Amino acid sequence: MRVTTRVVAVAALAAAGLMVSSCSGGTPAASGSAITVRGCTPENPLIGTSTNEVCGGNVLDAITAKLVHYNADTAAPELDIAKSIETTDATNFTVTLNQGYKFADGTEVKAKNFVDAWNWGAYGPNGQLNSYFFEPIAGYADLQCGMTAAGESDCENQPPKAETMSGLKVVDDYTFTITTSSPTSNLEVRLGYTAFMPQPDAFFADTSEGKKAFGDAPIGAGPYKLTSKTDTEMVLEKFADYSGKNTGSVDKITFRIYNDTNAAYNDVVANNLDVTDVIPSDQLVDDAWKTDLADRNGVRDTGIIQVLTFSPKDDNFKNTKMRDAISMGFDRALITKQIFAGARTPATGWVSPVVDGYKADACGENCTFDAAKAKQLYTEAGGYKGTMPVYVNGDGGHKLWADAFCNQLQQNLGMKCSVEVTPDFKTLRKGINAREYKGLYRGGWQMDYPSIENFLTPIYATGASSNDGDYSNPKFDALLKQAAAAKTNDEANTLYQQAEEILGQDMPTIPLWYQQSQFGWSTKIKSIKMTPFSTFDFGSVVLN
Amino acid sequence: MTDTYGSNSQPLLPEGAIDGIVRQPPLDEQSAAPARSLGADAWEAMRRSPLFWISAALIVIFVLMAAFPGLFTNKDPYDCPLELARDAPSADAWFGRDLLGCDVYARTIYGARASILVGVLTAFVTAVIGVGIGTTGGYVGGWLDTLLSRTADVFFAIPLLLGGILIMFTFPSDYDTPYMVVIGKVVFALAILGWPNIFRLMRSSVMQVNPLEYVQAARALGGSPWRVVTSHVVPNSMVPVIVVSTIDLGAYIAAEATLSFLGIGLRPPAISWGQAISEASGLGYIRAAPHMLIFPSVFLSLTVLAFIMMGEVVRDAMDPKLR
Amino acid sequence: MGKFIVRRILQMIPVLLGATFLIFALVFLLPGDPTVGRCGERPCSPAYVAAFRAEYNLDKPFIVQYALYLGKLVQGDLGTNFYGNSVLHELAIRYPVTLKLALIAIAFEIVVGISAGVLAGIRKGKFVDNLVTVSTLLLISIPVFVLGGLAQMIFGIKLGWFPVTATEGTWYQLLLPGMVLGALSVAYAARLTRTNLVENLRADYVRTAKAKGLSPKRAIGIHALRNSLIPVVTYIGASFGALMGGAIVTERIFNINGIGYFIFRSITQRDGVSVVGAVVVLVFVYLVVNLLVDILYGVLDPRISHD
Repeated sequence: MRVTTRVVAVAALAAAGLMVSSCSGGTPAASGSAITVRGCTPENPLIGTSTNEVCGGNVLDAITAKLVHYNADTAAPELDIAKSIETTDATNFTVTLNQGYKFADGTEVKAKNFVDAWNWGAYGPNGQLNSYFFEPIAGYADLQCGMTAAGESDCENQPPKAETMSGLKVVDDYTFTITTSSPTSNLEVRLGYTAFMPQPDAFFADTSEGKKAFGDAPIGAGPYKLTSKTDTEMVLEKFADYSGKNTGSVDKITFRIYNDTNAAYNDVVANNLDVTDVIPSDQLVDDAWKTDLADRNGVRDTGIIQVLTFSPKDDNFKNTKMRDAISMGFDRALITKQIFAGARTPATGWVSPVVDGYKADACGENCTFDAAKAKQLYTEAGGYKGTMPVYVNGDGGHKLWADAFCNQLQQNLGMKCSVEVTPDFKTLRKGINAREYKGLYRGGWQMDYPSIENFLTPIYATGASSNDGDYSNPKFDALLKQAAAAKTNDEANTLYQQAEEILGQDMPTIPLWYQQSQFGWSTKIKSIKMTPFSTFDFGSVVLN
Repeated sequence: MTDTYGSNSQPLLPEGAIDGIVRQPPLDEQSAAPARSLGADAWEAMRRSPLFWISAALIVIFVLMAAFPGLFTNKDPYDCPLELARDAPSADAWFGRDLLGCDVYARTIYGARASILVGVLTAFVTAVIGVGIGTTGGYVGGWLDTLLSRTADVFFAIPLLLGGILIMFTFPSDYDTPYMVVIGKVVFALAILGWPNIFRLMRSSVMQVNPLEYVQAARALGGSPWRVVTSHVVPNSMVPVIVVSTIDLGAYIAAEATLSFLGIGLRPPAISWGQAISEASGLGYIRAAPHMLIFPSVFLSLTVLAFIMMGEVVRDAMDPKLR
Repeated sequence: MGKFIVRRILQMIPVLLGATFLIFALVFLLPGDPTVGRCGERPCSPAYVAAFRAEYNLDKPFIVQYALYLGKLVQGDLGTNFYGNSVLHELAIRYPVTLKLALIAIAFEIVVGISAGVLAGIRKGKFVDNLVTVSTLLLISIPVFVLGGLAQMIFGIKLGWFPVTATEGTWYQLLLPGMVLGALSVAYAARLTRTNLVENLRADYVRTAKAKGLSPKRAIGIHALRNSLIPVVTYIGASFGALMGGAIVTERIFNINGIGYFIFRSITQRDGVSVVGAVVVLVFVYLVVNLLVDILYGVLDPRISHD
């Protein structure tokens, strides 16, 4: 997933409206057209398998093409480089490529560019952040280093058994097969994630440590190519030989690096910057931003959900009534109205409404504010012993809603509640990973790929990598397995929805709200669209 | 002369302003010259100054506020109805309500304690460390003095704000950290890099007092070094330290606000002006609900002003040349 | 004089070592593994953590890390940061910008600070004096993030007099942030000028000059002012290093790619190599400027000898 620690501010958009602005009447961008976009410093080399945050992801999105492309409006997967992805048993897949796709360096995209890139990304000693995306592929385990007794990876003494995954086979230049270790019905949906991008021969020829040289000048097969990357900006130019359907509209995009989103916002107001994807939360109050950016603002529902996780180390939560009481004891609607100026939608379940398979109300009455019932359950559960800490990171603008949350619990349940602000996201993660915290802690999830599965398996399956609350329910796990092996997407979704219902009974986390993204643009632009991944659809830009 | 810092006529190198945190320049090193019945003279001079009475009154009010907030309000600063968030000033809430619906007036009154504690304690701790080490260096001299001076340089060379950030990141507080420990950490972060300022001032001051007749006489009479230092050297070198510390005190209160803005200052349940100001300082909030920023800001400014004015008055009164 | 300079330069070495050690120790103590949070809400794969720790010597004891760092430092190598970039290169990009910012702040300090101080000083107790006193004290007591934000909104957006941000770091763009950064020092420079001027105006030599028939203007201009400015110049010189390292908030508000925000970001990223490298250079600049100020002071004031 991509990490968003910043305040993604949001304005009210009642329905799950997708279209932000229509292109009616605008002139298509003339040649030589250029726009500037707010950017931030990528934390890693610009390589698909090592970029997992928005700063690098936004750029990679524009310069890469993958087997599958997500529709900018609906997030539905559409074949891109792949001509077809075929399977009969959700385990053996045959991928056929469209011929003639070119990398920005002129070489053609072939089957081996995928297979080699994925093997490289999954290979333990290469230490790629996104290597876990290849986990479903057969033979992934053989590419991982052994563990020391202390549970640390030990690549020096216990190197991996293999360098390539047994589940990947090149058939010919334009065909390869994928075998998964267990049935994975939604594999096609996953293949659009950045980690699955192909890499050109130049990538494998790069001998610099961690492929840093390539990471500074990445080559993808996307509609744009990166022409320069400095500490203050990253410049993308239209790739003339781009062969796909998702052509960009403007000729040049400059991502200008901003340290502070307020500065970017102010620059867009003053027309010094053309697009910003973040509106500071204080400007949402009384819709100030819509005044500043009259007729040049937009709101987009994005695949992000915020939750509070019950610490498995806290005995107060052993009683389900206690968890229900807390979830029922605060007014989501009031907080989203007063703190986020109506810019978030109270959650009714654990899955973002933007994805395929979403079903409302999985949380039911547990996510509906009812002070009297909450108080009653709270009393029956015996009350919380001591002060309940609520951990949030201080660098993401989370303190305010957490304060409001605590105040409400104090008023409605009479419990003691204290917001614990860690200096930054890293510190919070460290505490959570070490299970140091009692009480509640914040979790935000931005989807990697638009599937209900991405909101359940990585977070709530037993032993899953992001299962911060150590939730485990065999019935839930069994349903996930069944769903993964389902023959059709609808069948899978129904099973996933049943699994989500179980979360509604067990309440491993408190769903808070779904996030929307606000964005604004300068008078130079007539319209621009944002995707459900909170990136911009540069094919949609219309200039004035 | 072994070192320029010891020069009698040279003002100590005053230090720069660090983005909201100031290392106050010693305004006048010469005020160290001891006068006969200095205290009485100074009192006479101060009594006649209206600035003295204004700043003294303000300081008394703020100290009362810090000690007994209940005298000024009967509202609960933790009573925050969210539905009233950002409400404008009214008969019910004189200063309006903040982002969470808390009463800004009550929170401003209750915020005085943390803010003033940070200012007073930091000024006090820097003074104690600076005077102790400065007196040692200035009185003993030689290699020990050089060592202490260079050590002070090490701390001085690191910008105050950066050091503060590093320390606050290194020692975070959590919910069962006692109130005074939370305050103590902020004080520690500011004091650890702030003391060299006072050190230099004191050292230079001591070096000026040292050769004077009464100190030499006390030594000749066989007074132990401890006695000579405590009863003659220190009392006669303290004036510039007192003056600069009063002024620094205000600057440290403002510094806490900047730390809060960067997300590493005081933390709830401690209430402080710095937190209130930093939370209300978003431009959108200033437009929609300026009262959230203005009232705590005015209180902070008044306090800082009161202490700085007091420092000035004291300095003027202690320095015969300015009278 | 020569001996003095050599001795001071030699003494800089232990100070530099001490400051690096202090910073290194603080950075090393920072809670939070630098790899934590790099993988979003998931823990990083053990292979990634191991590779990362080995690459940056994080698996070695603290003293060894410090020794390795020092060894590189004496060769002029500030190391490679967690983004894989040369720290020296990062600093080379950012220091000039911060230098410009600090120079603007200082120019502002000199022009506005000294004029206000002189005005207040020669009209002690009058309206102008009180006005200067109140306004400088107000500047001191307004937190810089409030001042910066308001300046940006009013002068940048509403009035359009200045660029809103200074991403490219040109002189023109840095004007407004420079003034915001210098505002605090302006207040101090003004107070310092006023105090010294008031004192010198009562000094015997000024009275003598006046008695000899010198016009008050000349007496003030030539004698009192020159003598009063010596400590002010010293103060301004010494504040230079601090201004460069202290612009964290200003650089953040105006999106300046300078050293202050670079250090802050590096601290939050647990990028110790960058923090230490940047602060070492900062300490060095501070020491050099201080030395220059001391020498300059000896030149300006004949009563001080460095021998």
